[in-house]
Amino acid sequence: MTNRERREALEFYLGISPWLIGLVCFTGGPILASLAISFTQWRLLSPPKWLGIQNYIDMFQDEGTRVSLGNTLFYTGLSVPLGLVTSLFVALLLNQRARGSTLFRTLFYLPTITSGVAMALLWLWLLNPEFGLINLALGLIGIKGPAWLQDPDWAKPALVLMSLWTIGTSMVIFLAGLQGMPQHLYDAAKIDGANQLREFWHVTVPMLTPTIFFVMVTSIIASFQTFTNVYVMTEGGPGWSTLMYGLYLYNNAFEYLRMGFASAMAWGLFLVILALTILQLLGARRWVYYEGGIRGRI
Amino acid sequence: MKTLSRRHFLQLSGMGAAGVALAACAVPVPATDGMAAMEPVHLQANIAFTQADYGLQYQTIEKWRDLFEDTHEGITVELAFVDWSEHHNKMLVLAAANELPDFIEVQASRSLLWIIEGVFLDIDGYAAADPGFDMDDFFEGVMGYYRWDGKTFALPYDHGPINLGFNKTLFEERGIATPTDDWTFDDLRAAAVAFAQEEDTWGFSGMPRSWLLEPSYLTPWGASLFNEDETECTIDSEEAIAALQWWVDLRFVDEAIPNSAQSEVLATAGGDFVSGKVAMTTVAPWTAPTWNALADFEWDVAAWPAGPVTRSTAGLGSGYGITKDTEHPEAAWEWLAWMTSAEGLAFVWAASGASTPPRKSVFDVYFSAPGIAPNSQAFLDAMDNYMQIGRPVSPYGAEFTAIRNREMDLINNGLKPVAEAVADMKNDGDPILAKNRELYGS
Repeated sequence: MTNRERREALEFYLGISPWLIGLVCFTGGPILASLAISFTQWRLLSPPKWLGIQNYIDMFQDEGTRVSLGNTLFYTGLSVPLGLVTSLFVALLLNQRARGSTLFRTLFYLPTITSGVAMALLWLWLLNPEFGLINLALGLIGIKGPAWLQDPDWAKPALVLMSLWTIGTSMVIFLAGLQGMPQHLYDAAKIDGANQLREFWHVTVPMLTPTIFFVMVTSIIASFQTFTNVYVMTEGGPGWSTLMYGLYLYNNAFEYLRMGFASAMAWGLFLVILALTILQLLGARRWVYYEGGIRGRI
Repeated sequence: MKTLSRRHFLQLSGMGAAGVALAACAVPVPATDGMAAMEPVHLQANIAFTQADYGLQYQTIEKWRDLFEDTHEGITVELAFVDWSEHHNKMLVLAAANELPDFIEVQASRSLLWIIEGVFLDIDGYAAADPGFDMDDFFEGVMGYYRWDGKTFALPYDHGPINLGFNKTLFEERGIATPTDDWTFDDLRAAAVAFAQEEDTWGFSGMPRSWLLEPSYLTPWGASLFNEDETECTIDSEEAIAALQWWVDLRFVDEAIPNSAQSEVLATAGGDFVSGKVAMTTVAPWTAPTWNALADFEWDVAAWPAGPVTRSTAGLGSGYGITKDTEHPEAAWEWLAWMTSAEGLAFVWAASGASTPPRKSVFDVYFSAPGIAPNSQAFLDAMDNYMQIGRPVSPYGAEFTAIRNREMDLINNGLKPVAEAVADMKNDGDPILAKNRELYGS
């Protein structure tokens, strides 16, 4: 290694050191600490006691964990596909060269940067069964709206509906993907006589699969960690129908003083997300197309 | 406690807001026991405050601290104000890191948990050795939150009972007799149903919930939420089912209580009562400033009605304690005694009307404060006679509240029969409460 290369390497490590130190000390440290805490009973106000794997065993027997995981899976199962389709649809619309499209892009993105608490309070009003705008709109077409957040059967679908409010980030990613589409593929499709639907299905979708895959993975991770909306809007009710995993974890840590159990829950969540991500990576070999890459390798 | 000269007191009082200062000036200066000279000590004190409720209360606390430092040579107090909503979590984190300050605030509903977990210093010895400090002046019903195993570990600075607030204008407009301090729940129901005859008007707002559940909604029927040491849930009794059914009927049969969605629409910063469409609701002393500011009608307070068995209501507040690992227990006691003395409670809390005091002798100051509830005597009567502790207070009680809230949600929304819900609450709650046995050694 020459002196210049050595100096450049030094500059490189100095440059990234603030982030690296932050990662090791303020993220890596607590991550490892939480693993150690998950093997203890720690009520925060008194020293931790070693429990071994008892917290992990308790997790499987705990009704709250079971219910909250079920609720979270339901929420993820509905909100992620719906969010993907909606954000792709909106991105396709906003990808048109029409007047005012920049304004609409901004408008669709705005809810994403709105405070989560403010958004939750706004949706409490929108979803109000008696006077909310959603039931008012349903009433106009002759449908009697449900009690939404006051009804255990409709509370989770209400949260799914609300999740569509924040499709801005996915929409921007899809928009970037769409704008990077090579024009010559569309030209070739046109020469072959493809209509717009066929262009979309045989050119846009395959070329967009890496973006769809990325948005899907990050959306699943985010939806498993959903917290603010249920913390502010429902506190997990009515009757635990919106008790999400993240809220139950928080309650265990800071309300019930079961920090060891909460840490075990956090690691449980990590393992669930890791398993799902690995499954998605394996599945991606079958449907994600990387231009210039070898099919089946990602 | 050391002497505070009247000159000092008046100087400092003059710096405060006129209302607060005027009221405070009427308060006699603290007595002295001639504390021995100490080495210079720097105390760290954590105080929670809620801007919305108490305005600039923390400035009054700072003034009271300045006065303390002026009169207690060698002791300085560093105040750290923490927003009320974050206080509990911040204290937990500090406790976990062994970084708790010498003096902390604690909410009554969590105080026994902190005491049993060994956070606080037993202060009985310091109080007994301080003839200037009158422990007997605290309401006995309040001290239950701060005593454990026959010892005192913390002291209250505010405490308020729940009573019946009512829209006096609405009662007079409808020609319905206003609530009196001898009302029973039958009287409440009759009035509430009468109001509900008219569209868009409700007789009462509120359902059995949270820390009010046992003292305000179950005890009047002779029922309880737990056994004495909170090792078993007792809400499946016939009396408890009758009590809860009474409220469910008032909401769903008589339609005198707005449902959650209707309450949400009526709600303002002061709750749905301020809308003027609700005749009666629960009221605490700390509600008065908000209602005074927002309600465009006349309102008043009556005693919480008596049930078929007795009259009882909940009370809640906050207190201060000395952390057990403090290096300066004597100085910390001086500060605690200063903050919870009759003079301190009058100066910081009662004179501004922010909250009812936990000391009997300070009520005179509270009664002359601006902006308090019209019939504040009802609060004093409750504290003196029928206020109970709102449970759970046990270490595993918080975990039980998840079960309680789940089932009460379903009961209050008419989604589950009362008998079925309380049976589930007991079935799922008892294993959690049983863990308290290890702590009590029973």
